Amino acid sequence: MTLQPYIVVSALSPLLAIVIGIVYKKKSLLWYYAIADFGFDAGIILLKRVWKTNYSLAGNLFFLLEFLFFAFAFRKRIFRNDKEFGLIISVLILGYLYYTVICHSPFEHHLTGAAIFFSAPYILWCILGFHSIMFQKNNRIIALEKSSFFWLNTALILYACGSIILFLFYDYLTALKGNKEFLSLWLIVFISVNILKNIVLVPIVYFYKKEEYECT
Amino acid sequence: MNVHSLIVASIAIMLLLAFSIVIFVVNYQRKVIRHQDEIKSINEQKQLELIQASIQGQEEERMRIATELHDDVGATLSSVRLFLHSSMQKDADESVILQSKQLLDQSIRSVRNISHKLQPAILNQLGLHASLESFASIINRSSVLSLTYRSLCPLPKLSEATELSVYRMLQELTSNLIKHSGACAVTIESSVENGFLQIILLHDGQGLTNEMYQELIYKKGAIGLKNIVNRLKSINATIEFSSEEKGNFRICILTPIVS
Repeated sequence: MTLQPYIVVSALSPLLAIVIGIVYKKKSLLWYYAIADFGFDAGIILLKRVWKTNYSLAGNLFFLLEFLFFAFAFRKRIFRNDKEFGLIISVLILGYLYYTVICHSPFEHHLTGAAIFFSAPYILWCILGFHSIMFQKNNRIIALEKSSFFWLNTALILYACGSIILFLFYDYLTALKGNKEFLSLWLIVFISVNILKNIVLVPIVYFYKKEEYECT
Repeated sequence: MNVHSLIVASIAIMLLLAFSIVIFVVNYQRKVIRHQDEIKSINEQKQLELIQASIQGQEEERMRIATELHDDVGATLSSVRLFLHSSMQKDADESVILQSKQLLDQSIRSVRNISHKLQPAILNQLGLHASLESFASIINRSSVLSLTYRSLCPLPKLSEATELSVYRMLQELTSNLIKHSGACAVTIESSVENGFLQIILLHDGQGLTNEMYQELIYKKGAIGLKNIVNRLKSINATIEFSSEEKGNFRICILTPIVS
């Protein structure tokens, strides 16, 4: 069974959010994330299948970029101030770089660092994000289905919960020889959560309101 | 169970957890919205009842005035008309004229009484302090209960609306105490604190607590209390019911001083 169509669909999945952003003129931070996601996914396919070169560096860089996009999206909703934000983000990025660049190599695919320093914080941020939705200041009630921030939390928690285990065991699985079937299953699960996240990017981009990301 | 199965199970559990969190948030928000809708509907119902109570109060007042005008002033003036008519037919009879004059005096008194009930003249002329003193002496004369009024400091001149509302609320509360509480002694104290006029009504009867008051104003009937709520709203005042030591009850009205 070839996984090529799934990989292509996964790479194309952010296009819908990009088109929605262009048509409805909603060019927010997360719209740029959709472009970056599409660009990197397409780039990785080209590197891997067409030019048959090492794509691990691009993959590692994308995790870092993706983390920055999500961190800035959550910045004013869950961090008390810029100092706290800067400190936490720096520690996590340094941890990721230490694991990926120093402990291993940036030209290798080691996802444990992404699981520990990125996916785990995503889950925590989403829980805090949901908490800030439930207990808004002034007892303000928002319509969840029209809340970009709610959709961001939904997309990210599903993506992070699905991928954290995959990332944690990636090194273990690649170390095992003759484990192609299970690696295929790994890829299918990852592609599925990635597509799910990119589909949910549509309401995130469509319902985006700047003030929703700037206050609790 | 091998490692592969464990990984698959872990992923499934994580995704299930993520879904559960999302569903919990959605359900929580729905519950909050439902709760807010209920509160909104209760408030609307309360507003409606207050408006109805206000209209009913006005209608009752109109009915009372109409009855007094018809049965008292109307009847007296009809008699005067008859007397004057008969005096025109006969030779001038001084006793008929005198009787007519007496009846006219009675009518004037009746009209004055009605007017005083509508707007206590003393309130306009001498202010709230004198009106409450006069009110206490009227109640004490009736021997239904003993009402003591004391002012802990000189009261400033308040706006007409505030003075009338406070006076009417105290009238209504005292009337309620006479009708429902079985109180023998009532004390009204007025003072001024931090830009607020504070009126405390202490009594030894069966009183209300805040919870009972809230329950009553949401119930049907209790027009007097609903009128109090309307008057409180109109002058931005608050009322608090509480029980004191020795079985006494306390009602505190706090209103901002607007000259």
